[in-house]
Amino acid sequence: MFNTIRVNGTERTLLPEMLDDPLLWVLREDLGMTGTKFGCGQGICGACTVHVDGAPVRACLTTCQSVGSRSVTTVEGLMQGGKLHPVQRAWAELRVPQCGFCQAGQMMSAAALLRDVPDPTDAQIDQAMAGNLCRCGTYDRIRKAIKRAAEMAKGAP
Amino acid sequence: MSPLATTSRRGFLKATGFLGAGIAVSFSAGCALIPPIPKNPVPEVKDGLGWIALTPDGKWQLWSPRMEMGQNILGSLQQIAAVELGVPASQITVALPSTSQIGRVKITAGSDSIREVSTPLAQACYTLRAAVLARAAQRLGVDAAQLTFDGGDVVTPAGARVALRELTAQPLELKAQDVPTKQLRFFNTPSTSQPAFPQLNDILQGKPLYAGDVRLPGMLYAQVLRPQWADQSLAPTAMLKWDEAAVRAVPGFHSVVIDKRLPGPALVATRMSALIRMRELAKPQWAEPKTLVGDVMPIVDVDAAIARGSFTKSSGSVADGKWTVDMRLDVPMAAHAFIEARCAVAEATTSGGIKVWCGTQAPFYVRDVLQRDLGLPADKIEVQAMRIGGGFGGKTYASVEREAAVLAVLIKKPIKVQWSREDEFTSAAHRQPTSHRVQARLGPDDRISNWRHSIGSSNVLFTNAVVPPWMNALTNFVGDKGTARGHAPLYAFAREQLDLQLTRLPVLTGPWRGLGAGPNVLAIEMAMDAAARAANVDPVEFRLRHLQGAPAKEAGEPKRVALCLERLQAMLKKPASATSLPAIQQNSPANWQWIEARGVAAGCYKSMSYSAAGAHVAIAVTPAGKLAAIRLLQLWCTHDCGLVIDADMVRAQVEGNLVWCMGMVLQEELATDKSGMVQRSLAQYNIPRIGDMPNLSIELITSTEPPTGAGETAMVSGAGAIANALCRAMAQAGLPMPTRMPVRVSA
Repeated sequence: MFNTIRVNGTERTLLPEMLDDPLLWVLREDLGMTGTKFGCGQGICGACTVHVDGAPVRACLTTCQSVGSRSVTTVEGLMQGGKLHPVQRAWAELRVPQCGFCQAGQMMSAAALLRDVPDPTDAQIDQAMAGNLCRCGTYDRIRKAIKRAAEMAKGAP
Repeated sequence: MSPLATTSRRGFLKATGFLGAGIAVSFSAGCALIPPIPKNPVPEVKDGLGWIALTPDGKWQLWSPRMEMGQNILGSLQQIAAVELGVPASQITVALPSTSQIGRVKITAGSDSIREVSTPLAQACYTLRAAVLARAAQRLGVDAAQLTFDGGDVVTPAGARVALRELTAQPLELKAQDVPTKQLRFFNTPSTSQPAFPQLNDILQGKPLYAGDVRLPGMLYAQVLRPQWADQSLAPTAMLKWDEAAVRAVPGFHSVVIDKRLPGPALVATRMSALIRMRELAKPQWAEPKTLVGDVMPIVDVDAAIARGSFTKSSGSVADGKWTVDMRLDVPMAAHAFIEARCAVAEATTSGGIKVWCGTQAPFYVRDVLQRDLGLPADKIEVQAMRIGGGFGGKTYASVEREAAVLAVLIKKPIKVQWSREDEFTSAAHRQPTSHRVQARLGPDDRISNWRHSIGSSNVLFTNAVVPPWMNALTNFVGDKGTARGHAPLYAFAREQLDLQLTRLPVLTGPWRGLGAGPNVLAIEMAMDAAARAANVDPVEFRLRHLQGAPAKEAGEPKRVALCLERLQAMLKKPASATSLPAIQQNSPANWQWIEARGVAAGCYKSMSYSAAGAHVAIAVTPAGKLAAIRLLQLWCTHDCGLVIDADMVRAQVEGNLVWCMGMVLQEELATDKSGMVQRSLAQYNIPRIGDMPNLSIELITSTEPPTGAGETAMVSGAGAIANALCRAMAQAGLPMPTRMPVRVSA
């Protein structure tokens, strides 16, 4: 028995033994999309955040089967029409990453926030990003970058 | 008698590389008792010539002699090379090397990459440029001084040109020469443009950069079952049982490997998901060590050492008398908690060697360890450095790398070993616990006349992750400069006494961001603040009194700390844009009393970089007089690390250090009990989150001093500033002063 999963707009075939597997490891080791990171395996650090139908989920706690027919977006699929997502552009402009390991998860959470809340307040940012840990301490820049991305999403240069 | 007994202790330590940073060491590989010791040669121009090259196809290639873990060393070195070669940075490809691509370099640690590497790299680029232009001058028949680089060519003022690839048809003869820094463009006309961030786009788009991103055909996956007491010499244990049958029944099971070089059975799977299930089902049980201890803090109790009257190291003396300040401060263990749990991929090569991909701060040390463990010559071992997903001193010794290499050799297939988050807590080397007693006596001039700082702790540089107990007995004759880092104050005191007691613990301790400087300077700065309060003198003014006119010390230049403090003083006078207290008050019980206060602190890191910080905190006190809440509203920081190459990234490092300081004072504690580490997940171990962030104001001091380091410097100021703000607020509230970190609310 085979099944499929839609990742970044492409149907990918899964082997039967993958259905109960965490999405994280199927993405990374079976489908070769290593942008989504393993940080804790317990849904605490947020490094493995991906979108399922636009909503942020922890790929380490999400089985492939539970995704069903919904669409998965990873950091590799965050670009829109060949252009960097506003979050990615803002992250580059403010040079947010240090070691960079957590940043895929940070950007996925930020993109999901901006989809729902185009002009987030500090409190809304803190709430939405509370589950994304960064040990390098880039939080100040993350907060600023989310606000900058909000401007960019509205067409600001 | 042991053969070692014929060598003097100091001579032995020197021979093994423990004495004197930068000593290139060779010791007999035949002495199996001696573990591989990091060899840390001071880089010279001859080394630099191995980092930069003009390839046969006419491209500039730079291999970074330092590993990348977020400090943008790749961008900074690319910038140095660009300035010195006289070509755009974009034309220089910069990459992390393998041990087969460059000569031995020291561990990337201690915030000294730019300080140590900038000159030999600039000299090498100067030499390479001169050689290329000399050959071009020969071809073009003009004076080399008239030539410039233009894209992939060398051109004359008249427009004649020759391609770089034509100039490298024959190898260039490069002679290592110590070019004086006054001849180097980098030191005389530093670029004002911001260095590039070479791997930034790859990070943003999720491209493979880290060890865990390496995927090889036919690769297997493994984890090792390991005891929860990591120091097997002080807490020896053995596996009692585990559910091997359940592990073998998991679809995707490949094998179980038992080998004396591994701390327990290695579970090997064909798929990562299968490995995770196997690990869950294994349920290993270990015999409790007979030497079991619970909380390790009593082992390092400084007052016990004072009562005994003996220390591992002690210097100076103080006069008898009543102390104005007599402060006890305990700082517990802390985890690195980098988000990238360690991982390595290894593959046996067709020539009988091994290649390992890993995010290590010490690729050459990893190679040394593999040489010992695999019995292979160095040229059969290639360690490929990958971007490090957080290092902070925690990836300076060989762990997951040797597990991967051993398994790849035994199984004869490529293998990825991925530590779990629990492995990181139970089996890594953590920040050493420290116990401080600081005593200060004010003289009639309200200056400190006598100062005594006694520390009880464990080893850092001579970490028990590497050093066996018998060797610690020897290393203790020279102390441990890692544990002692920051112990010597820059302030001028008439008399001072410094004591250090080192006690090996049954849990692993090793380098953590700032090593000893974080907790040691925190204790110093809290005592200085207490003395300033006792003297009823402004805390900045009080510190300046003890710095001005103070002679330069081995510990650093007092005048540069004073400058940081003076600039901080100016920052503190500006209106703050702090998170408003009323907003916090609105969400708290009406009967809480909120009290605000500011604190300052300052210090020097590794005798080279300087920082001062200020903090603005608010605390809430219940009607019953309990500390109910702590809110950090604002942090200010001034920072002097000499000539700055990438100001934005220096600021980023300062930001990171300040966040770590928040964790040290307000959140982080790694406790032990008889079962080992109490905290074993990121849910249990609390690091700062975005909602904990105060406003940050950072000022870099423009300096023409040689470039030093920024990666750990603000650890000496941020923690003290936060703690002192808290102490002042708690004093206003009539609460007792904290005697241990982190400061916890009690209501």
